[in-house]
Formats: sequence, C-alpha cells, structure tokens
Amino acid sequence: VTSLILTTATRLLLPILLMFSLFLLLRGHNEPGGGFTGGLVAASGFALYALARGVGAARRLVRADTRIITVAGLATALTSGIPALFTGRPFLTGLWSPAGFPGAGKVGTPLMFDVGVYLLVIGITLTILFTLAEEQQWKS
Amino acid sequence: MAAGHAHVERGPLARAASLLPAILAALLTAWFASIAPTVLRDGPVDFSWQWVAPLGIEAGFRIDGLGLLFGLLVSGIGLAVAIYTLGYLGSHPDLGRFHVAFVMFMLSMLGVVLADDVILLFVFWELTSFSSFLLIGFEHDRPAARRAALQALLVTGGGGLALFAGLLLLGNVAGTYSISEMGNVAGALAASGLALPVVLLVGAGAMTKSALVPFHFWLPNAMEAPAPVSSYLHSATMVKAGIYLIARMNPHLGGLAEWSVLLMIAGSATALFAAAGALRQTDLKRILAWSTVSSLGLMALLLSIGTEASGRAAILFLVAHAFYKAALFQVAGAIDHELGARDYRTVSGLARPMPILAAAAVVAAASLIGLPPLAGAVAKDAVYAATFGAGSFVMVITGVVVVTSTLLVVVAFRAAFLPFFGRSPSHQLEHPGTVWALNAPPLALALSGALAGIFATGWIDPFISAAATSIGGAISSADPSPLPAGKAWLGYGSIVIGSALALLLGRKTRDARDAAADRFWDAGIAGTLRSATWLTDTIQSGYLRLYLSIIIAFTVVLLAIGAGVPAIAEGARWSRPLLADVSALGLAVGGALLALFARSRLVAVIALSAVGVGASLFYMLHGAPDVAMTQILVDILTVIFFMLAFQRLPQLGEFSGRFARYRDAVLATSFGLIIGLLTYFGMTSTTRSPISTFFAENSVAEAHGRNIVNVILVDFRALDTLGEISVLGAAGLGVYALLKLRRPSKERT
Repeated sequence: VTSLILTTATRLLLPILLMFSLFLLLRGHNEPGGGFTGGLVAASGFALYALARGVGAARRLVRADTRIITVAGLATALTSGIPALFTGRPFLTGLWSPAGFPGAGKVGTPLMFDVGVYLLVIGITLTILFTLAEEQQWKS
Repeated sequence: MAAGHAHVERGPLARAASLLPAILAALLTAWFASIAPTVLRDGPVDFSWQWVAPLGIEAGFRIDGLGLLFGLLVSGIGLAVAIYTLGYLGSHPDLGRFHVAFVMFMLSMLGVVLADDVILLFVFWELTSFSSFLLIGFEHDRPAARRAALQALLVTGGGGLALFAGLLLLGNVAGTYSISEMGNVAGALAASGLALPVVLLVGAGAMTKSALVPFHFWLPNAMEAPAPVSSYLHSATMVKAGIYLIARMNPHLGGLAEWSVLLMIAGSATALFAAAGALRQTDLKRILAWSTVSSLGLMALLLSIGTEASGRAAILFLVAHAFYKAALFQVAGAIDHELGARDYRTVSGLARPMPILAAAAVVAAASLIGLPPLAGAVAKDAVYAATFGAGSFVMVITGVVVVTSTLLVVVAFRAAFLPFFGRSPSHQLEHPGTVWALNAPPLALALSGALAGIFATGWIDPFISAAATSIGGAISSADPSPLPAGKAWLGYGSIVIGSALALLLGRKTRDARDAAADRFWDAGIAGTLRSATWLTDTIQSGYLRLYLSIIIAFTVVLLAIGAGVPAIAEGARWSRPLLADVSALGLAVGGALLALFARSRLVAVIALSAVGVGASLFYMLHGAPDVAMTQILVDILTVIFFMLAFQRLPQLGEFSGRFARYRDAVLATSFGLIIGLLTYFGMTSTTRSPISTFFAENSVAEAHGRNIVNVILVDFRALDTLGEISVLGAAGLGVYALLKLRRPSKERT
C-alpha cells in the first residue's frame, strides 16, 4: 500500500534529511548536534523511504549491508583512538590539526570518533528497522 | 600403555626438529654453567625490563645462588628428559605437540625460579600449572588422563590464585613487589594483622604445587602422564616449585611462628602419610609418586626449622632427590615401554636383559636409601644435623625423619631392586634394552647423583652454600654440630630396619588405588556441578520481564540503602518550580497515565511519546538542545518501530494476574521515585561541587569545542562512549538474530 503523497514527499525529504544529518554531524563539536543526533536524523530519512517505497527499495538505496555499516562505525570509532598511542598519550586522547580548515574549522580525531558513532547509529537503527519490516512483509 | 599408540616414521627434517628441545636444554645448561662463576664469586646477577610501570611491577629476573641451582637442575635434567623422550615417544604421532608443551614448561619453570618480582613469579607459576595440564592430558583419548589433568590443573591453579592473593597482600605490606628488595616483613605483617592470611594464602600455593597433605592426591593421579613428564615435572622440577617458594620466602616470612607451624604440620603429615601410602601401591610409577610426595613433605619440614643448617639440608636433599627420583621414574617408564607392565609384583628378573637400566636403578636406589658416598647419604647426614638443631621440636622432627626414611627404604627395594632381581625374567622381550635413549638418561642422572655425593665437599659445595645463603636463616641457629655417633646410628639403623622390612614384606601389598581424598574430590566436583545446575535452573528463567524485575528491584534497594540517595540527600535544596517546568511535567505525567490506562495499543504508544516530548521540553528549558533533539528523534523512531511490530503483537488485554500487576506497580513506582530523588538531590546538592564546572571550563581550551555535551561524548568521556556504542552494536545484532532465528520455526505453521 503506497501513498502518492508520501512517496513524492520522500523524494524531496530524504536528500534534505541526509544533508541535515551531515550538517549536524559536522557542527556538533561547537553547536547542538553530533554523531548520535545526526545518525538518528539520517536513519529517520531512510525509515521514511522504507515506509513509502518498501524495505526492498530502501535496502537497494542504502546498498551496503546495514550490519556492515554498524561494524564499520564501531571500527572507525575504535581506530580514532589509536593515533594518540603513537604520540605516547593514552588511548582516545584527542589530537587536533594545528591550523583550521576553511569551512570546517579545526579537524581532529574526535571528529573521526563522532563519524564512527554516526555510522553505528545509522547501522543499528536500519538493521532493526529493516528486519522488523521484513518480518512484517513476510507475514502479510 | 605407551604401546597403545600408532607408530609413525618421520622424515629427516622432522627427526632433526625433534632434537630441538634437547638442543635448547643443552644451550640453557651451558649458559647457566657459564654464568655460574660470576654468580658464585660476585653475587646475584640481575636482568630487568619495564613492564607495568604504573603499578610498580617490572619484569625483573635475578640469578642468585638458589636461582642458579634451580636453573641448572631444570635445564640439566631437562636435557636428560628431552633425550629420554626421543626413546619413549619417538614414534608417537603427536610428538610435536608434546615438545611444544615440554618447552613451554621448561621455560616457565625457569621463569618461576629466576623471577625477582612476585607478580612475574605468579605468571610463570600459573604457566607451569597450565603446561603440566597439557602434559598430563597428553594421551587425551583416555578418560583417566583427562581426569588427572583436570584435577592437577584445578588443584594447582586454585592454589595459584590463593598464592596470587597472598603475594599481593605481601607486596602491599612490604611496599614493593620485588623479592630482593622486600626484606624481612615478618614484623610488619604481624603489626598489620595480615600475618595469618598471608601465611595461609602463600602456604596454600606452595602446598598445592608441592602436593603436601591435604592437597597430595593430584600427584599420584598425574602418573597418567607419559613417563618423561613424571620424571621431569612430577619428581624433579615442577612439584619442587612449592618447596622453592617456601625457601624463597624464608628470608621474608621465616620469623613468623604461623609460617613455621604450618610448614611443620603439613610437612610431617605429608612425609608420614605418603610414605605409608607408597607401601600400599603396586604400580611402579604410583609407588614412586607417593614416595615423591613423602620426600616433598620432608623438605617442607626441614625448611620449617628455619636455621642455616636446615636450609642447607633441604637444598642437599632436594638436589639428591631430583637426580635419583628422575632416574627411577625413567627406569619405571622404560620397563613400561618395553614390557607394557608396571606392577612390581609381576615384574622381575630384568637385570639380565636390561643391564644398563638395572645399573641405573641400583645406583639411584642406593642414593635414595642413603648409602655413602652417594648424594643421598650426604643429604641424610645434613638432614640429621639440621633436625638435631631444631630446638624444642627436635624429638618430633627427628622422629618423623627416621620413620619416613625407614619406610622409603622399602620403596627403593620395590621400585628399583625387585623388578631386576629375583625369579627368572617375568616377560619375554623381543629387543631387550636396545633403545639407548631409554637407557642413557637414567644412567646419567644416577651417576650425576653419585658424582654430586663424591664431590659434595669439593666443587659442588659452593653451589650448595650459595643456595643456602639465598635461603638465609631467619632464626640463626647454634652450631651445626659435628655428627655425633647417635645420628649415624639413626641413619644406618633406619636403613637396616627398612631393608629388613622390605625383605619381610616382599611382594605383599594391599592394593588401594582409591584414596579417600580422591573420593572426596569426586564428590566435590559432582556437588559443584549439581549446585551450578540448580543455580542456573533457579535464576535463569528465560523470561526477560523477570530478569528486568530483578535488576530493577536490586537497583532500588541498593540506591535506597546503599551509597546512593542517602549519601547525597544532605545539603539538597528545595526551590520553587517554574511554570514552564510544571507544564512540561504535566505533559509527561499525563502521557504516562494515559499510556497506563489506554484501551488500545495505538493510544498507548502515542501517549508514551507524549512522555518523551515532555522530557525534551525540560531539556530545552534548561539549556540542553542536543539532548532534547536526541530525545525527540528517538521517540519518532520508537513509534516507527512500534508500528512495524504492531501486527505481530497479541490483542491488548490482561496478561497477568492481580498480584503480578500490584507487584509491578510497586516496583515501577519505587524505581521512578528513587531515580527522581537521586536526580533531584544530585542536581541541587551543595556539599559537592558539580563536575560540569570542569567540563565547562576546559571544553574549549582542552578539546577545541564549545558544545559541552558533544565534547564530553567524543573527547572527555570517549572511552565510555566507545563502550556504549559497542553495547548498542551488540544489542542491534541481537535484535537481528532474534528476529531472523525465529523465522524458520514460524514458516512451518
């Protein structure tokens, strides 16, 4: 059962939500936002798409296996702690670029950590969502 | 039993590789020999590396007199055993696996005797238990071998844990984990009231490892291991680790009465009980195992005296014992290997077909009995010199030694003389005694014992003296008086009486394999398993709601009476709430009540999200837009999830009885109340300064971010976040697994 309004709206909403989620992720260190919130927004976008077009279409849009996204997120967060070890500081100590980048400001390992959180939240949410939804389709 | 396995032919490369353990042992022996002059002349040699610096633990090794002597014993006897293994297991298909565990044991045993840090010592100590487990269970297709391996592991591993606790306490009181820097801590221990716990814990470690009563039973059972293992681990080296530990601790714990009394009681009981036990065995290896237990008891007893003379006697006895007992085990193993039999009542007359083995057995047994000039006789003189200086316990200790020695003479007859003499050969041998690798090592060990005895006052003496110096004497005693006639009479008297007893008894034995301690062990294991089953059945109901109830109930109780709410209630302030707060609260509470009494599930879900909106209103009002945003997003996704799961859920109705509902209501209300109070008191407390000030001050300076919430998540508390997202990931995969695993069973309906 697909609704024309929902389908049309999703076409516009999904890119906006995804961009918004990236925006939240990047500004998170200084303004409200962050990897967790950003991940949830992105996941909501895909959830909307799944409701409008079905899980199969949503899975095709995401392409990667959601479980792989989860694990990749965890691995990214874990990896971000390693560079500090080479400077003789404790695991996960934040390291920062000396100068700022245009548009992004200073870049450091905490951002990479946040990217890991972002990916993990998307991965988890979509894993649960898709699995539940497929359960549903199988039943009907 | 050694004949049971399949034989394999090895290629040249594999044959060369099988020599590696022997080569390693030879190199180690040579290295210890080369360093010996330095140690004996200039004192201990230290090697150390940084390990766990924050805890003051370092990988420190120290070769002093005691360490050097043990190092030479471990590597030298290791060489003999490695060669013997090639004869005993040369054609075994799993020789490689044996060699790995063998080398692992040899290196960890060297670690035990050279470690200068108690933590490092403990690590190697456990590694010897572990490699012993692998070696006892080498023939793992036999249930008896598996049982014996597990038993040895549990007994020595359990003792190891006690030892660990004891060493930690000891290190805390002494202020250092370094053995050489520890000094005598007897006074400090007594003052701290920890003397008895430390003595019992360290003592438990030594007693389990060295198979002292009441932990003796694992050692005879360990005879399930192949003979090289019995010869090496269970007579010459590993079981002496406990004795080593007692000796090593003598300078530090020696002055404690608790320590001496524990060792004296355990040592005497073990010496007598196991010597008597040895006479009830018929299996050659088990006879030797029980006599080993008895000898270990004697060593502990000697060390309990705590004088210069007793330390020296213990070392001499230990060295003599290592040589003759390792040799005797190898002889027994060779008999087993050639005949496939090891009952001393049926094996006889092997001197003619196996002359070299017979020579090795006779020399080793003569040393055991204490015939001059062998090492055993030198040791026995020193032992009597020590017991006569034992102060108030002189009669008891000397008596124990005399009786034990007498009984062990019978052991020597049964394990070494009877199989080779007497009636004509009991077994027909195809290739009698031709495997040189089975003959040469025991002969070499027996002759080493002879040489050690002959040169005891010559070049051997500095080694013994250096080791005795390391042991020290806490209660420095009077003269190690010259041997009066009485002592010599005791020594020879016990030999004569023992020999007479041996000839009188002949091959008469009451077979008693099933020792009481062993039955007790089995009952204990069975009881543990039963109680574990009962516990699992009781608390693992399989219902998530029950688990949650238990967790919540415990949290409430702990917070209410423990260090939670009451601890911070003091100093909390009450303040007038804002109107906006009240309306947010009203939204949340109203939503909760509506969800509770809703007749339709859809209404309940939407009412629940009203609670979420109320909560996020709070966050907005109090300057946490991040959290508010997260709360709303989570609520949106929760509703979506609910929608998806909706059709699967059963019709809303009454699922539980009246009692269960009241119980749940009480649980839920008290949980909400206690968390609410905790939060309120926490926020308004005036007695502690809030941690948020630190974050606010350091957020930009240290972490280059103005959003404190995010800085906390990804920088200050990044490790916590890492833990949380790991849990989240696991939970997500858990959901996936639950839903996917359910499917096949549903498909059938």
